[in-house]
Amino acid sequence: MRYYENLFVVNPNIEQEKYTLLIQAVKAEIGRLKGSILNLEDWGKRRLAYPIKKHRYGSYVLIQFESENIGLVRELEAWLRLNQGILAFITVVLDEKPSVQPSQSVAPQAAAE
Amino acid sequence: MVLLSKRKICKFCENPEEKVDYKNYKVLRRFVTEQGKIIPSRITGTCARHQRELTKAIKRARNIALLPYSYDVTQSYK
Repeated sequence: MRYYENLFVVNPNIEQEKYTLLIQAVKAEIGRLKGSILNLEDWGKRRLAYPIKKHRYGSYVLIQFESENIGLVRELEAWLRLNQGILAFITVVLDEKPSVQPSQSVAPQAAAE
Repeated sequence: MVLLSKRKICKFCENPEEKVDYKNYKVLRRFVTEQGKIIPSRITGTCARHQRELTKAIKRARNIALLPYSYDVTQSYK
């Protein structure tokens, strides 16, 4: 099993609903690629250190997941790249299993409802 | 920014709890200049191992816009 984390930046101008949907879509995509999500942290809107696609702000979302699918990262990144709402992303292989915080993985959806 | 002092001790060796992490840009910011350049370990006193980790973390943070690649001090981007 390998552990990964992906931090991505979402266009800050999309509506809350679409934002929630987008996060769901990313989660679904990881699921489709045989990954299981361990943690999801919504950092919220932050100022970018430099503008990306003319945006000065962006919403950061961190997802930690595990998978045995070697091709997952390549496919996930290809998918993220095609997604218009995502400004930037980074995937990192973690050395050890991250501690799972159940409250945090549920919080973003609960807050949106 | 970490300024010169007589005895330099690696911040990360001093405090093993503190891991070098690209997401923790507030800590990383202490290891870059105002222009955004990585400060050499010779100045900050970071040990070789942690400096390697720091370099990597700073580059990752730049990639995801948590830290700037460069910052023009004369022309502030606000």
